[in-house]
Amino acid sequence: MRLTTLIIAFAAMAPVLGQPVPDYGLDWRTIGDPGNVAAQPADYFWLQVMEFGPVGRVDYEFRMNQFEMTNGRWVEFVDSYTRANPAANVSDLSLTGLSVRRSSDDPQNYGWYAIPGTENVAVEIGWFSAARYANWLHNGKVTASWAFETGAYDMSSFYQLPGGLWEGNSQHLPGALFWLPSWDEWTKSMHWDPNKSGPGQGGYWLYPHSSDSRPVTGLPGEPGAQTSGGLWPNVQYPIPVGSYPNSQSPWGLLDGSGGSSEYLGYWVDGVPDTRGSNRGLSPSHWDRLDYLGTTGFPDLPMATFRLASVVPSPVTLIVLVLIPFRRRRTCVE
Amino acid sequence: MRGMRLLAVGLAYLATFAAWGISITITPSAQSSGNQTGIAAGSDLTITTAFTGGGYSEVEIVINGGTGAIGDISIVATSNIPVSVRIIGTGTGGTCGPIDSIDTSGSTASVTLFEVKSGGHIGTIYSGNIQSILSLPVSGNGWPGTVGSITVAPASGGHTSSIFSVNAGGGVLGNIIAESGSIGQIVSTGTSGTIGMSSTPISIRALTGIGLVQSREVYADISGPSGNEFGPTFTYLSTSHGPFVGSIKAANFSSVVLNSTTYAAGIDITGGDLDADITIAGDYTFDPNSSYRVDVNVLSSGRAIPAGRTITIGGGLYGSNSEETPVAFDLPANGLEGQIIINAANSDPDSWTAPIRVDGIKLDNARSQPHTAPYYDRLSSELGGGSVGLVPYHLHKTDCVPYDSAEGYNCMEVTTVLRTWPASHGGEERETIVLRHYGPVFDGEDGSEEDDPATNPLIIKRRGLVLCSPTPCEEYEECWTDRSERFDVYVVGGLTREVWIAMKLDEEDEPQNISQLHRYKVELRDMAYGGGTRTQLRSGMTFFDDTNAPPVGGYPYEYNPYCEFFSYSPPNQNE
Repeated sequence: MRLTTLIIAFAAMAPVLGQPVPDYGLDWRTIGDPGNVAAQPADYFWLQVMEFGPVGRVDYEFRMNQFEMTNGRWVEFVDSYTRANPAANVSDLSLTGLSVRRSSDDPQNYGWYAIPGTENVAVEIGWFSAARYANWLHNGKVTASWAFETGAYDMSSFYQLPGGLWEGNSQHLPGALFWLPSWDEWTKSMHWDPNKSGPGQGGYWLYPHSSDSRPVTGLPGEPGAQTSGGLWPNVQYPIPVGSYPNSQSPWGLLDGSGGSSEYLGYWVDGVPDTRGSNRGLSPSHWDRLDYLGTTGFPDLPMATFRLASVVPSPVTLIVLVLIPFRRRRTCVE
Repeated sequence: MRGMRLLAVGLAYLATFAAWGISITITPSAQSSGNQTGIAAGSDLTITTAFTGGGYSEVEIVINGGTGAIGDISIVATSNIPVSVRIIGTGTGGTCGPIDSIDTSGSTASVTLFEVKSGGHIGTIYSGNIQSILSLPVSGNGWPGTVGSITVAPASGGHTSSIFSVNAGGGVLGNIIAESGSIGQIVSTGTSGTIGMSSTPISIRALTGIGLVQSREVYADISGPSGNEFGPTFTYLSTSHGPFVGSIKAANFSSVVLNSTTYAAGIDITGGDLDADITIAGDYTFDPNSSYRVDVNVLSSGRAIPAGRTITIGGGLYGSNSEETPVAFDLPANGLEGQIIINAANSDPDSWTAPIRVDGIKLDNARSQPHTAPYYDRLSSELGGGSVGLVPYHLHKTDCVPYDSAEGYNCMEVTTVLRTWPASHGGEERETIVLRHYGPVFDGEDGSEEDDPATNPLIIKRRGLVLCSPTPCEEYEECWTDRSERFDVYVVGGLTREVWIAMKLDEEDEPQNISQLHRYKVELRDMAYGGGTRTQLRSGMTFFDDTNAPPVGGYPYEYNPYCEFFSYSPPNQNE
């Protein structure tokens, strides 16, 4: 009897089975230790005062960009967005940031570029633009207007109130591959150390450079300098991301202090929130684990961002084999 | 038991009241006015700290207004360590309600408002350093999200005091002053928020630098501390839905870094006019390949630098030039109604090398005429009626009426014009030659006073066009002959850039036409100046006083009414 073996192979199709999640050339760090304890208001002054928290517990693995988004990388997004949306206001600074410029007025080829010297500096844009970036990556960087409007965030859910504030669904959509980190995710990736007090003895560092002491403000390369936070108005030139390589979070993220303040995803208190100091804001307060900043308006170029994403799993081939069956003999009569 | 129940009720009441009222937390609380809770909304607060102990790097004061209003906040800090203050709430965005005022005067310690978040109007603020002021408009509560005046000043003992960020969604209504320091950013971009109001513009003053000023509309005078100084560097101003009305006086445009963003300096006006006088004491360096590029853009069609407004650059307008590069000034069609002045300090006569564009008409020194800077042939009417003048100003020969015509022109096309002369110069409507310059000019003998008809900064020569034969004709000059005494000259002054020439009235005080049988040459008259001479006609609105104002150039002007239908060969010149 001849047996026919039916082989059915399933490639990765669903998160349960693992899925391809492109890196898009961004540097990622995986944040593990799911189910870590949260930071409690009882232990942190500002959480108590603001009646926030607990914060920092995340029950799943996820990834975070190692660096803040830069002007150089932002050029590609602006180019794609303005091609897909010819009616877009190309002078909108919340879209372009202030260091990304165009070299022509041709809607087919604006010639976007980052001001030389700022390619590796954090871009500052509006929260809406950061959310659209997450959508764009989710949709494979397609240059089409729809690709910027859904996927990670439903941009149609946002509307402006008479007073100028905005409302909408700032929580990322289920199934999003990329999103702006929540306060819990940002806090964990910047402050939670699974081995802070020893192997397996986790705890929170007060500051995002793996220390309970505030980072020292100074120029890159200055002895002891750990952050650009609070440098203003003493330095008049841009500082690239990653300029303080020894100021890392427990997971290897850089520029949690200084650079620019970073947008969070879900609006904690009704308006876009940020974490982290920038050059004008002293790290002693703004970099604390329990400190939450507020930008107020998602259509203003007030902060930068780094993305969170699912952790890509290897493609799993599920092979169903060896299903023998007998071929029916055709009787010839 | 009954006492226990009363105690429990009392404690519950206090807990409830605490949730409603204002709370003050001071860390360390030693030697201070102490921590407080349950303060009634709208109350005035007086907070003191005289901490001189050890173990702390700063005193932290937190005022939590819940969702209610706070009255006048007075903070007197005489501690031996700095003091930081945070004023917050539990409303949208962590805001409290309106705050009447914040005052830290009387403090000898350095006091920093590192965060103030209100949903209402924040009144007057007087403090040391300020890191962040945020006022969010909340329509449901009727909160306007506005900010009044803000002043930062160092505590006694000296150090600079600066303001990093003011963000008022509903508008900035009062002056923003950092007389010993810098201002980082002033932002108001809610649906109705503006910086200043058209009826009540504000002052924005700092000593060393002013970074970003950004709003739907801006009504402000921006300068150094006294209001007239060019102390601060200035970075960037933008409007999104209206004009910038006011002024900027700055040492230079300087691209600086605020947060991590390079703010390439300049001005972007969308939806309105650049209705402001802007004066930069130093150079305006435009290099499209530099992080420090500066450009000034009026981005909406139909908008302009209005007539009467001046952008003055003390140094040069330097930069690259080519067809591909962006431009230093970008204006829409007819967008140059006002005046741009370059080299107001008269230090470099070759200091216009960056392009200026008006609706696609690009003026720079690498282009051929009619676009060659600084003495471009483009008519001012093609740009909007205004002009770009490099000091010392030259005569704008093609813009004169009639245009400079040494070789003659078609008389049917170009003629003189009729102008009504002022009574001071005899009045009457007369046939007039209008000389136009690239910048405002004045009579150096008269200074800023009204033009005196008795002083004449020009020499007007004449020579005959028609050869009479066999004997010389009456009034025929074979050679160039000074006939200045036969003409009235009116230096109109101001931003008109014009000087008028007409025949004097006749014996019966009637206008006379300018003879078409002669050619005319207008030259500059010199006057004594500093042991030598200088032209009597001077370049105005520069950095010099009237006595020392720079000269004028680009003369002589010639009016040659030789017409096509004349068959004429001019005699040899006897010069």
